[in-house]
Amino acid sequence: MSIVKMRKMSLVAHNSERNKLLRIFIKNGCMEFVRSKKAEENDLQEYSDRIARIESKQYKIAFALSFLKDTVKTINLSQDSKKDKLTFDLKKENRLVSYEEYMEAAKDEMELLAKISDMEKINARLTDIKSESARINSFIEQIRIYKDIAIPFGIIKDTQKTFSLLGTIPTDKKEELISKLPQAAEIETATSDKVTAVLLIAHNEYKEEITSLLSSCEFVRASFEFTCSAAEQIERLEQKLRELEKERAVSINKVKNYLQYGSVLKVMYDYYGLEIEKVRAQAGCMRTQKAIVMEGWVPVDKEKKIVAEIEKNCSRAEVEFRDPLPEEVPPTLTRNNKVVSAFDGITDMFGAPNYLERDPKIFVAFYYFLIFGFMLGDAGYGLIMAIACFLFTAIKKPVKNSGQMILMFGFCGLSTVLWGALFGGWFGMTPAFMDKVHLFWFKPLEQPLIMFALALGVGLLQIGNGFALHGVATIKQGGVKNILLGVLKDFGWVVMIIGLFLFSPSLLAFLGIIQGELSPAVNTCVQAGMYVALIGAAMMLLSGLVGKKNPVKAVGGVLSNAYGAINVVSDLLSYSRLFGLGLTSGVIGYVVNMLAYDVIVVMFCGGQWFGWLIAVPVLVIGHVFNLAINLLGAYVHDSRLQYIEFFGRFYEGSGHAYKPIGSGVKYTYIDN
Amino acid sequence: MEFLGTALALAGVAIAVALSGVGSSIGVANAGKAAAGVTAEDPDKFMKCLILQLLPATQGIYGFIVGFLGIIKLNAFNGFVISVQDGVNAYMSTAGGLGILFSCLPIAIGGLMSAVHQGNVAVSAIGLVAKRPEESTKGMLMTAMVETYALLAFLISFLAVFIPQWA
Repeated sequence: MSIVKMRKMSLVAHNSERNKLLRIFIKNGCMEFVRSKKAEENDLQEYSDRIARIESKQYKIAFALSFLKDTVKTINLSQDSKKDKLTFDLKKENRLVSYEEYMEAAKDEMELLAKISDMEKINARLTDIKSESARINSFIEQIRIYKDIAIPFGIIKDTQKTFSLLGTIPTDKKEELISKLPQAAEIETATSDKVTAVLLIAHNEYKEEITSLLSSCEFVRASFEFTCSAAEQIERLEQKLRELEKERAVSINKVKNYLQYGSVLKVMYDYYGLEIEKVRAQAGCMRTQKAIVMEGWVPVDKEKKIVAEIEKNCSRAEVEFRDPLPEEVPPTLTRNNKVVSAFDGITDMFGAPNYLERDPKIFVAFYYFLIFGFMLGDAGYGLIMAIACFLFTAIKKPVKNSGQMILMFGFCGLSTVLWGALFGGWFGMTPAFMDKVHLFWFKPLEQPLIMFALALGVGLLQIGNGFALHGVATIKQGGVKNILLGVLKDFGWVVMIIGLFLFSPSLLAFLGIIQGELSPAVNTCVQAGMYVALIGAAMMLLSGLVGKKNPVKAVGGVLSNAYGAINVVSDLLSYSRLFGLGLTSGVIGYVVNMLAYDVIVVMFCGGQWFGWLIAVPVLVIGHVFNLAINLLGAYVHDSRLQYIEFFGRFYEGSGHAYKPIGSGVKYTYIDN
Repeated sequence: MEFLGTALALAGVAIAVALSGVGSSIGVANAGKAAAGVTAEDPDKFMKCLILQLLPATQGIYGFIVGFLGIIKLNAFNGFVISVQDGVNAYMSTAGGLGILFSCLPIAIGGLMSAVHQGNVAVSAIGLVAKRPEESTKGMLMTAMVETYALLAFLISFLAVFIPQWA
């Protein structure tokens, strides 16, 4: 458990061997390139052009992937039965891909790109079909009002003696128009809700009269290119729409053939990603015409392997390793056992430790485990979590680090079983036989103060641990002042907290948690605890004097330390959320049980069997809801306690995580 | 007037459940509007948005728990009869009722305000998810910070309603 030591590698190689070297680095996943200061002299244009070329291909893959995903979604929407539903997602493939497989995939690059351009064509056609359908639909809507005028529009023409007009008026003007129209005019109308289509034929001598009448009726003239009647035209267009729909279905069906390439596409996408990383790495290297200088960080345990491989494969490369200089900041790589690293996500979210800092992950794992169960506090829920998460891990076998979070919740489930058993909580109740033999420590609802004290106890433990870690780090920095500060201030707190723990029986007795007289042995312990705590407090206050010659400033230091104690107390009280969240899940579980049994079964159904028909769904839904909301609460609040109350004491997380070349893959896990 | 105490206590139960419920519903509603907008743009972010939307929901639950405990203290499932002395039913005293009423105030007021504000932070966090989905847990933490005060209010209400032998 700890931060892996880094070695700085410098390597001079002939240009012809740089690809071999990059391959070795990627396959071993153990080289983070450092940009050389002299890299500015490189022809950056050349590199950015190369990157742009690769990226344009990568974009094509990205298009293909998202196109496939969208199309599968459309297909599934039109599919009714579940059996026919297709699956396609953009998640990472749950398998390790070897470097060779990426290169193998690249050999069929041309073929794959050709397939993608087929997909692009299909996509373009689908877009065309969509816009054409929309256009036709809106045109149909436009001419639908003329549907009842059965005359083919082609014969509506002006003759020597007559004129004809086609258009629309608002429906409420229809009466007016018909009543005022001269007898000699022929009119044909088709009425819909708001507008009425009008076809009018009359002798030329009425032209002026009719024109003015029409304009008073808000007549809008229309002209159409087609010669058949509107109804026929609509029929024709709908036929066309059906054809387009058919073509669309055929095109979409064609896409199904491309689904098999999903995996290849993902590998290919990451192949381009690797290529881009390679070019970026080279862009940051110092170069001459014939040679290249590569610099970067290698974990100390990989050093020998790398050297051996380079010597074996590259005869014209010279490699050298050295320890980091004091002014250099190496990247941070942490390595822990499987249990601890399951909790990596919590610390990583806050920030990787600085290279010189202590890796807090083992402590975080312990406290996260401890606190999570306390907050959920129901053994039944814990069992469900643990079984579900461990089964998932066992069946799915997530590769690399992808299953860490699930594994973490599995462990948290175990912690929940532990605490739940102590609290006697099994799905919101205590089974009768456990009640009889008192197979629990105490019930939070009966003795809430014990739980409160316990929550603060956990807090005190974690805060004390935080102080101790900070103290050790301060002392390690060396120098009289640092050592004094570390011993007096941080360990002052530690001593004080130990004293408080020893003193706690008397506090518990005062609060009525412990009944009766304290035994003599405990009494001695309490006495001792009081003095220990006082000594700790004195140490902590005295540390305000360290390094201060001016007496006024020294007094100020002591006062500011006393004031700082308020912060610690407020942090400690923050642990009361353990108590609150623990009670919440217990009480809601209790309410659900009561609703199901006391209210539904006994009260409404008189204890008959059919009561359970309603009660069981209520129980299931209620407990699932309770588990879900409290799981979320426990996850968030447990993280908060680590970040603010624990890390606030000692941890900065200012380092940057180790990112070797080849770690930027998106859809696959590279085998290295 | 023998029911005055019971009535006062029920008033406390009512405001604990109602006010914290109002707060939660406002918070969840605001967050929900933002979540719906983000989901419209990118349906894949639904789960992340949903979790954030759910965070201001807890105040309503806290209020409900306090209210429920109040009802248990009143022995509502047994006709509000707290004890029987010499064959006469005894109900919650006026002082006891007032006590429960006051005990309910922290979660009622604290729950109301903190849920509304937590909802506002959740809205911003959902905006964060829209732009940088990989940072959603940080948004969750920021939103959870507001909840601290709801938790503190809940604790006091819980202890004050639950521990004393109200009569």
